[in-house]
Amino acid sequence: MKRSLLFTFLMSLVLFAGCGQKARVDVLRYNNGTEPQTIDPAIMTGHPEMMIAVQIFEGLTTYDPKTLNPVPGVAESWNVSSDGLVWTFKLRTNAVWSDGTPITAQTFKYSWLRALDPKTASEYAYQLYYIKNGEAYNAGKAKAEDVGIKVIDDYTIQVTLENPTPFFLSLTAFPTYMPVPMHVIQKYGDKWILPENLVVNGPFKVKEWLPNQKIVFVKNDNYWDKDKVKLSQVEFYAIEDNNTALEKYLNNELDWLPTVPTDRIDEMLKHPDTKVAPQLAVYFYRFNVTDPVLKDPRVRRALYLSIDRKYIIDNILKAGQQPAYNFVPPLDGYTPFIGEKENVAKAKQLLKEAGYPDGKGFPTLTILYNTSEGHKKIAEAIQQMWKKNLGIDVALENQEWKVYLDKQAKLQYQICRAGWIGDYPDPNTFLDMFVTGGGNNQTGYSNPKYDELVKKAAMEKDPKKRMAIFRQVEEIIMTDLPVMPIYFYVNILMWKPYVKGVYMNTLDLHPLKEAYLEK
Amino acid sequence: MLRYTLRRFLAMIPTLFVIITVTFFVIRLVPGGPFSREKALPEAVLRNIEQKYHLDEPLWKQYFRYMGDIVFRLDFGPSFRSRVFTVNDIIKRKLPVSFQVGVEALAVALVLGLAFGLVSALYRNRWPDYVFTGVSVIGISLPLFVIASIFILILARWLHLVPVAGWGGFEYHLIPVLSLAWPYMAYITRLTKVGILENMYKEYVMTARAKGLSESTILVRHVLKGSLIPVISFLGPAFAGIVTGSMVVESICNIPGIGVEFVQAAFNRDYTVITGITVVYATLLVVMNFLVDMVYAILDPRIRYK
Repeated sequence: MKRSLLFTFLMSLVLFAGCGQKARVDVLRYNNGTEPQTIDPAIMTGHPEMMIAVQIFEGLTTYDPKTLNPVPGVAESWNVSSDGLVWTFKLRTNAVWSDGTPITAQTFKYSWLRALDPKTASEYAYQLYYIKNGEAYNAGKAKAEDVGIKVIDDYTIQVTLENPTPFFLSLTAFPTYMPVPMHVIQKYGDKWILPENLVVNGPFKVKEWLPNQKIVFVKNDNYWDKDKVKLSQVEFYAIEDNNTALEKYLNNELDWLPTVPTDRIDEMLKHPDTKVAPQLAVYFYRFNVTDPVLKDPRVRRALYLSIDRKYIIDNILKAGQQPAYNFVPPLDGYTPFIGEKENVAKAKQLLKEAGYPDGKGFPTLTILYNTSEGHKKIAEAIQQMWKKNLGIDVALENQEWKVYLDKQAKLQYQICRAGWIGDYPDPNTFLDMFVTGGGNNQTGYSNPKYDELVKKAAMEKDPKKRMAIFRQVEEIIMTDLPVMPIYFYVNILMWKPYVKGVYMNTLDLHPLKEAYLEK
Repeated sequence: MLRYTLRRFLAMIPTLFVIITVTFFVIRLVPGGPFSREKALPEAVLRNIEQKYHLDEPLWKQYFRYMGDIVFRLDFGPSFRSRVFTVNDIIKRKLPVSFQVGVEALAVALVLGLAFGLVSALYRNRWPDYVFTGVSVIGISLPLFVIASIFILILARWLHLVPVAGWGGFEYHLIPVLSLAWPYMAYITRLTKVGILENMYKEYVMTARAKGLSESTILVRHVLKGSLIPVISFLGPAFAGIVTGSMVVESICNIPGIGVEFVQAAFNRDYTVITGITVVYATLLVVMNFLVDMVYAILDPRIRYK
């Protein structure tokens, strides 16, 4: 009797074990890290939402999975007027919604006006401000008819821009510019994105949505380029706890992990699945230039010159990040203006000129950062470096995320940790931040020459000249130093060796249209 | 009795009213709002959003609108984070999940705790006592995230019995239920053991023994009854605590429950979700208190006439 009970128990163990390890061949399981705020492309703002959008929707252009350069999507061709202001897109006639309804120029006009409509209250409406009168309409100062979108015929749409915008084709691949099914929205209103109503136009469609658990995508058989789609099913998990996600990955319950928990980076860098790639993002400290001490550019430069970026990277970050002596992360087609390297002797000299020889009489400044082990370690290292190199004391203050954002926006800080992730691969997304009174300036910095150059860059239609202007803009930043760049981020992620047709890229954005599994 | 019941019942209403009002205003005093972002929003965009959620109105007007929606329609409004689900949707979907895990955990804790406590008492100062006392001490002293991680490591990573985390069939319940149950089980074990030992040598037990009743009859009829009172009084607050979800276990085990939602709502300054869940918690507590009072009133007539 005893033996048979034990036997039954062991058998059930074996059976259970079998269930746990069952491998499913054609399903790609990705951890998207959180429950999306929405899957309405006109309203979404976050990276997890964007990862969903690129699987189920497709704009006039779409992203090449390797380079993220714009390639034809719903539009098969386009041309631009010689002044760079008027873009005409020719739509393919075989692009339809997943319910078979055709997608026309009217669909795009409707979708873009909907995103700009003040009633839609889209946070990313400003991504459409490049279109003529887009901003005015969104602010309630112009009518929908005034916006520069014109339907020429069913399959031709013409867009007039405020300024020549060389990265406009990248924007038309961006979620805010994706089409939405007006026939479904008119019927269901805000509930159109629920899986039972949802109609999409991308390579995949939503089969099941279990909030805070997972979203299941299956191949969209009405997609115009469906022959290239290889995966039959994709699952996006909403696991917030990075350690749990890692355990699930190591237990073969996930095929792709977009982040590695910070306390396990050391260990995971040795794992063969781990991949590290530069990210279009910069880690920096803001200086509050309205502060009586920090308003002196010599003080800011002394601080900038006396931190050891290499030390921070080698001892704290450890994943091959690049030290930042300029503000724009490495970007194809742009030659950055590289600022000065570390120079403690010069830093001391500058501090002396500013009236604080060997740090004497220098008041205690405070570094503000949002609560996180990583930010804390970096702040402590910098605190030590300034103490050792300049003889000055700084205090540290950590705050919960929203409090930190509030203090930063209201300039209630002296020095403040910050990060900036580019929206699209163009220097503009970094360099227009510090215009006088700009919402993202948050340093109190103002330089008329800078403002003028940023405006000039926006008007310039020659790409080469434009990049040259940006370089001048960056030079001003690296001269005035309202910010102190520290390093350029990397993405650390893991995917199983059998995941193919996907590539590392600087935006960590992965259209899975041509991805496949090789098991 | 009816009058007393009615009076106590009506007293719940002002309590809830005060809780909603205080939550509504206090949460808005915390720095940072639902739409403060790392990338600042242009003014026009912010204005459109504020208009959509009536955040541009004076606070008193927002308050009356909010109260009116709750009182007349039981509508807790839209979530500021989710553009898909309303607060009602979120509570309706997530509360049952936490409730289920909580009830299962409490049942496991009760069954195991009683059994362990009984065995410990009967085998006092012998190895079963040491083993179960040891298990209890571990359960009380280890933080939940460690307990859950241990279970994940053993049951999922080493033995491959169940998945690491997630939600769905029975296999997903094992780790969270065991993790949540352990500390509760530890308390119940201790309470049961102490209760039994206390009663074992009481005079009425001695009498029963003198009358020649068998040990098992004495244990079940006389000892257990008396020793369960502390366990039952522990179960009241334990129930309210466990069914409202554990942030730690729900987060580590990736369970779509209300405990983790509440904490995230606070981080996101999702005012309506915070207030909505607070109201649910408060109602649960107030109702539990009401029930306890009723039980007391039934047991002790003096309370009714006070």
